[in-house]
Amino acid sequence: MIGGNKDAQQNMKQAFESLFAEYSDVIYRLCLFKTSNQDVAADLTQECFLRLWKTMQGETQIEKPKQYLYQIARNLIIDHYKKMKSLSLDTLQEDGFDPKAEDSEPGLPTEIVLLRNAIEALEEDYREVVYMRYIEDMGVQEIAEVLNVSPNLVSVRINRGKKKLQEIFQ
Amino acid sequence: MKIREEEFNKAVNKLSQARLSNDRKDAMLKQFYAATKPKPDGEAGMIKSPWSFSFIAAHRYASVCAVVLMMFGGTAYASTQSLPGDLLYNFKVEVMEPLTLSAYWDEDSREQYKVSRLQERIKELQALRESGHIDSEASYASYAATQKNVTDLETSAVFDKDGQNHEVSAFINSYNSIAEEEFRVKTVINLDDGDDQEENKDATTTSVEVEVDLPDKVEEPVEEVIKEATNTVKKVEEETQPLIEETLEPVEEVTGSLTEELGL
Repeated sequence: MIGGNKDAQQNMKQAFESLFAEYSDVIYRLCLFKTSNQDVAADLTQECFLRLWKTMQGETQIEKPKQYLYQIARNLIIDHYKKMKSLSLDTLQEDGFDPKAEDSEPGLPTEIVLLRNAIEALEEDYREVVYMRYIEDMGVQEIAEVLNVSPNLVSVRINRGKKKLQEIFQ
Repeated sequence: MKIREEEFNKAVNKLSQARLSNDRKDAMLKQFYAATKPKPDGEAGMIKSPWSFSFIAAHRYASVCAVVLMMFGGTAYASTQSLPGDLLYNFKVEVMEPLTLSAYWDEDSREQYKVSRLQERIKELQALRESGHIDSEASYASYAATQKNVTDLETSAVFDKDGQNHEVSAFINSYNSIAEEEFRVKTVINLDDGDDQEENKDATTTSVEVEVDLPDKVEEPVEEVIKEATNTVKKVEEETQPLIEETLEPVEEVTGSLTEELGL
């Protein structure tokens, strides 16, 4: 029994670090795509993995970590926008917020903003699958698992999203 | 401002390469570990008893079993009152409910219990909303438990000849109506919406039969095709219903006056 608890902690730490190594960039890109701000994206990624770490500390078994992380990231992004909405521009400026500076750096390059606008112009059902398929290069089965829908439905949405994107292109 | 396909592909490549720097990742890991204190290693240095397999030890094990049983009973009772996001909620959903389900032998009772669990999920979410203690983790816990219930019911529930189960369908609709958009459960069950039920209750409503041109070769999943066909039927019904009612009104006026004249 000596050191048993320590071993468990060490194993948990290793499992967490391997999840962090595998998915931190994936979650960062999702947050960057949704918020268009590198600092905000990094903060949200950190918060997302902090929640995962705390959940693992509570010894809760996470069966599908990727699905869990995506869900947490989506919620954090929604919370971020809710917070932004609740703060008026005047209040933000009083606190030293400069909207021009926020737009220029550390925002996204124009082409990525255009890409984001094109994907965001799609209907909600297609947005996520198109993002996962093209930006994350995820397979149909993988997307189906993350979104908890059937692979057939994912295929249909990818094809339709593709057609709709073709309509958007010049 | 529109985007060209080449620009789109270029931007996809650029975004796919966006990564956190290694320094940032290291800093993050340090912060995670600093934010959570390690558990005290209470068992370190514990020495095994030389009497571990003796008669005395047997009594000791019995006492331990009794304590464990009492603790399990207490935990089980406390878990029944837990809500999504609570410490004992997973115990309730993952341990207590499957255990209770296994106590039912006949299929009817098992189905009834599963449906009652779905009803319980709605009550839990309502209670959370009323208490104001709802956050993303609680919502996710509720969503995960409900989705599990629904998936279970998809394979075991009894459906009528139209492929519907109004009770299950109504509960899923109720849950989705109070859940946030991100946490609505998804199902392959043919859900009937509230409007349809109202229409069925109204005996005076005229039904309209519409022929829908289904493609000769179904390339897409049947559920998508059925969904589209159902939407077409609803649309045509909505368009034709006022016309039918307008046409029927004068006929009813004539037949009404004739009936009065004939004293029927």
